[in-house]
Amino acid sequence: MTMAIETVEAHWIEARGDYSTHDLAQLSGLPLELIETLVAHGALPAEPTHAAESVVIVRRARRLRDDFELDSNGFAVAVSLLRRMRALEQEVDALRARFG
Amino acid sequence: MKYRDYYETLGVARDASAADIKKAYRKLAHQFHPDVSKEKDAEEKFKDVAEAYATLKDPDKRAAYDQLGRHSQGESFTPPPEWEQHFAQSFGDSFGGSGANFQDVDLSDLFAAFGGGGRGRGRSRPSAWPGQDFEVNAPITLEQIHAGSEVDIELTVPEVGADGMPHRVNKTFRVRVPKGAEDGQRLRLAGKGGPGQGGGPNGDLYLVLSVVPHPLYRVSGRDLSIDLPLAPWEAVLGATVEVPTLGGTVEMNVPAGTAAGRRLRLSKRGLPSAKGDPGDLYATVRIEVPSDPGATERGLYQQLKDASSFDPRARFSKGG
Repeated sequence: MTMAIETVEAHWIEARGDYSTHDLAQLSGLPLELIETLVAHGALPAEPTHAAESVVIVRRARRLRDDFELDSNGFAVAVSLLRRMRALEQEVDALRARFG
Repeated sequence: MKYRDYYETLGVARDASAADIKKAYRKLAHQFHPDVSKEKDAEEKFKDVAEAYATLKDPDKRAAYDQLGRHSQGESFTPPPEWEQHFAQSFGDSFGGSGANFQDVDLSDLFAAFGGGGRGRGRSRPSAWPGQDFEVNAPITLEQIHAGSEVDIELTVPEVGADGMPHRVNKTFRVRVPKGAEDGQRLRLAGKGGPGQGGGPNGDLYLVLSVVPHPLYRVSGRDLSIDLPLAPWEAVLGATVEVPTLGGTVEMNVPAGTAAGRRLRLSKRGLPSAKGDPGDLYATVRIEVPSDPGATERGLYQQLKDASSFDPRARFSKGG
């Protein structure tokens, strides 16, 4: 085992306002066709660009797909549910901040 | 090389069927998958489970693993000599093939190499595969977000050394966190993930910022909330009180007649934003009463009770 400290420049995913479908495919490690299928199925918004949050959600769904061996339908459901979960988490955060 | 008992990790017998292995993996994945589980150390446990399953689900890898025989968990062992050659094919021509270095290779890296990073089979040299992406949590305090800071992230990553051999190394990445980072925000460190194979690019390392709960503040986006305890007389008469903010203590005017639960806003005293205005700090009023009032205080409260016609429950008699 060796120990080294490396100072690195990091790319903030959230620093950019939007990502193309191609970017989303590249960052999530998924084929472009699969991202387009997610959009066609309504699991992702049918917009020309995607918010940074979608990158995070699709990457997480990809992990679930790989680790639980989900088929394409299961994968699309995972993306939809993760989006819903994220929206609810934000709502809970806001309520918790307000009411403790 | 240290032995890992993959059967024990999955909780199955050595002669378990492929179906039983899959069933055991799924059960443990549901229990420990970091995206599903809230259990402590779930991520570490899932890594072990996933590593075991990646080998045992593949008939070729399982057969190769079984050739190692039975050893205790963590026991040192020497793999068959021909494995070294397979490994060299996977990790390029720079591999020198010294037995001493091969002994340092991690068992999971060895099996990943046998299968071309788990994505293919065969004993020939695999085509180019990108390295594995890693994602780790990076705890960060509100104070660090407010001021902007550098955080050190320590983790163990596979790295290909000068001899072409992958080794697990402890690394510390010092990452600059700019002012205005958010909980859950992702940092992508390009090329800092697992090593690529067959000339493929290295994977990326993703850091997920996780805000450490603060004893005073609650977070909602860029806004912060704090409980503001007031004495009964401060709430009734109004007061100027000191409120701690991340940028230092400020004075706040509490209007007379402030009820419990009222939210008072301190504009732009929340978290900074990389793009626009900072958030606000909301102070939620709580009326505190002395737990053990002295005789004088009791007397004064008694006088207040006698003098006041205030009925906080008047609406009850009016049906709400």
